[in-house]
Amino acid sequence: MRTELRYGTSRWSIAACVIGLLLFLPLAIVLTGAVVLPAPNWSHVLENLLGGYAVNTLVLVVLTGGLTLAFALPAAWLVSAYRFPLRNFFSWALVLPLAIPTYVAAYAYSDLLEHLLPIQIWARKQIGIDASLAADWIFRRGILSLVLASVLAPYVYLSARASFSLQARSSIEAAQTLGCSMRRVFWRIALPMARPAIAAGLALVVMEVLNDYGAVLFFGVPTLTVGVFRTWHGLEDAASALRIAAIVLAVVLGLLALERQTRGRARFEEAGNRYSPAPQRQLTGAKALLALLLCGIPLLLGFLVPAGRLLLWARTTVGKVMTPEFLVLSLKATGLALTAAVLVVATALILFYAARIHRTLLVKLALRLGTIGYAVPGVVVAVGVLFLLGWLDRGIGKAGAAAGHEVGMIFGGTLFALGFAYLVRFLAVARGPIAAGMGRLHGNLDEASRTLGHSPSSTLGKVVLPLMRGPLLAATMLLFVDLLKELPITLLLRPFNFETLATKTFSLAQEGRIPECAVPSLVLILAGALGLVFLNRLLEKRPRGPRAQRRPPSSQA
Amino acid sequence: MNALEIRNLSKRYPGGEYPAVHEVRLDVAPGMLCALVGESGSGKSTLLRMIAGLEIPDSGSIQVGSDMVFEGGTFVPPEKREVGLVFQDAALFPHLTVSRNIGFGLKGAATKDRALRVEQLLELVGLAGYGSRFPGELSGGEAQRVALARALAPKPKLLLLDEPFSSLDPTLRKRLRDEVRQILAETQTTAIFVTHDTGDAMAIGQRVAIMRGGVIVQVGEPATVYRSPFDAYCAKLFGPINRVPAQLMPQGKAGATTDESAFLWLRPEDLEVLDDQDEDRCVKVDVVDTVFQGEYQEVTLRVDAIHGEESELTVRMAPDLRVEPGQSVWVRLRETGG
Repeated sequence: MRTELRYGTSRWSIAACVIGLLLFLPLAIVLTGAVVLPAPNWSHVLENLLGGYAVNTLVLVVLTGGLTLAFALPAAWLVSAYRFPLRNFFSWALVLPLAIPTYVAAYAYSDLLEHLLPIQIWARKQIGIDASLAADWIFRRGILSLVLASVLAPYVYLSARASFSLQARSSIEAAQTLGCSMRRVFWRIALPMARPAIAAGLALVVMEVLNDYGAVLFFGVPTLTVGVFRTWHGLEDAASALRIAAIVLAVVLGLLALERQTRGRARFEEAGNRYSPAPQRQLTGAKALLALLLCGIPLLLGFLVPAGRLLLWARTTVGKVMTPEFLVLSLKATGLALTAAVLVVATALILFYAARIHRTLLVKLALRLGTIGYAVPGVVVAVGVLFLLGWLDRGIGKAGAAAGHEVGMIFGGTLFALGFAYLVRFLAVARGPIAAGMGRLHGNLDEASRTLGHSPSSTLGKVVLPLMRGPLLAATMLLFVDLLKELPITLLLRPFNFETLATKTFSLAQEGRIPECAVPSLVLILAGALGLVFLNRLLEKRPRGPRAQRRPPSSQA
Repeated sequence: MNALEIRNLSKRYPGGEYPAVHEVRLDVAPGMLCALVGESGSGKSTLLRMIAGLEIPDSGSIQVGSDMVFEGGTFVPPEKREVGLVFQDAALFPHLTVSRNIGFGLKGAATKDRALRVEQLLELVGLAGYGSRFPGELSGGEAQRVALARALAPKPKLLLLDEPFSSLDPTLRKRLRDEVRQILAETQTTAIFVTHDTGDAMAIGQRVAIMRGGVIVQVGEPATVYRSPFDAYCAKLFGPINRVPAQLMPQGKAGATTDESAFLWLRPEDLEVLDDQDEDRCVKVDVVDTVFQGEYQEVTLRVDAIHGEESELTVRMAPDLRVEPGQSVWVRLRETGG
């Protein structure tokens, strides 16, 4: 029954609208710039490049999507419907691949292509050069999809598992009492019911594939994301780059609208609200072995093998890599990620608190605009930000010149630009924890504070923030991990000579020094695992009523 | 000057078919405790929240003391209204001790004055020594007392209580209700007490306002709204009532009847049951059902067709009188003082 408090608190509305608009601005620039600006090389891009980029992207999306389903669905179903040896271990361990960034996984599997070389050589001898090239084309895309799917499968696994175990208690048991075999239950009930959840997980997989730059570049499968980079840097045709970015953005926005239409609920919220009792049906013998395989293979491919190989390489190169420079770089990168994470959480807090006290259409719109960036590949965001800040810099430069001063770049190529782009892309990451935390906060608490003479700002400081410490910390950690491993935005927008762990790993790999990039890769994986711990804690907390908000007895008198 | 003056106040929620509150007018005199009673969905909570400033009315005006807090373009935010609110679920801040909860609204006060005031209030609500506890360590009744103390602390011009006892068990609820009445009288606080329980409303309110479908249908002293309800709805709201078909008689002419028919509305206590026809003005009735209620038994009686219409009566009898379904008894109107 809470409604807006329009009057007297409009500052929060205004702040929310400003933030929403600012964060949407780069995306708006991409869309309008693509239409308005003349692109000198566009016909070349259109005729010779765009088709290849699009085909690669499509092939990767379809193959990776299919493979994630193959990895994730059997495991999710087994874990939620049956008991078998190591079930409890698999239940959480199958999330681990998420800790590995896609490009790190690509480096860990870097030599896989070489092992397929004999087949190519054989094909060339037997059939000819065309067959060899075709085999190469297929192998690259196939193996890259396999690599991507093995680390992205947890997105589908998480959402499918949540849906399956939710049904396990009601529909599945009901179907069984009606004489349905488990096989029929899976195909006729569990799978159709889980379809929206699976689609949401798949959507995340697709977004990650579109976002990836490091892995596709390394495997030589230029997607649209790579296309934006190449037209920007290689052709030096910013407008054409903008047009490719706009195509990607349009596709993403379309998918987003489609997803919103089919289901309105957020992806992780569903997984969070409940504990599921352990299933009762026990698998034994050959069936148990099969279950072990179906759960073990995704874990092996997605985590154990890549992490193990990196560990082996790291042992030989750790002395070479662990220089004082590397430590300084790590500290700087950590500092940047942490600072940016705090910045993002603070901004998100303003936006979500405004939405809490003002339930107006305007604030809702601001919220939506401000959180779209998460679905948009980093490179698109980065290009939009580059354009926006470039215009600003040129404008200021002209004004400075008119006033007789030499003004250099103020925004472009600074940490400010990087921070702004991070905000655009990652604000929505803070949404889950903050929304969950605010949902647990009973609305009457704010109102009680207001009727006791405290303004919205004072209420935020004295009531909301102290009660949101946990969720805010979780949000900061999740963001920290995401930002630490972020690659495309950082590559495009970082200040000259500024390296993060992600860019360092990337450049070492691009130079072919794979064993050396194992050390920073492992640091990233460790950080990712840390993020998963926080995510897990977040998911396990249930919403509580005001009465249940207990606090341990305090010793203070 | 009234402590609260509401004129033509209306509010419709977006998408709502009917206005939640429609053209409400209400005056509350200083020091008065007014009970606002109505079924859930009658708009009483919405009205309360508009007075507190937590909802924005569509039209009308609200004046608290000498301050116009809502009228046309004026909207005074809740933090500037000096209107206290006690919530149904207490809404204590879980991260603050009882003392700091109570002191939360004492913003400008010096630390020493604040501590003193908090002690006073703890004493007032009978929770002296509870200051260092956390809300999670309080029972439901204790939490509501703290909520009351917290709302009283800044000495609001008007205190609103939104069904503060509805989550408590009946015994505690009755005790707390009487305590709250005393505390409010002691502190001379003007208050509006929202409830759906008419018993609570009559026990606590010096005035009772009845709300239905977003409209205040009757305001009056408890005895008035009970004895002279505005309409059948108000009558039924405050307890069981019998509807007896009757015919009007011209005044002063005993025995003569007119053709005009009407209904007689009788509270159970208006009727007296006799086991003998020892007087005139008695009606013979059949016992249909008896329900034992502890302090009394509720007896359902069938009245043989009066003027061609059969009807049932509910009366209350002393629990020790033995009546059985099927038995015949006599009822008559109880002599009233007036």
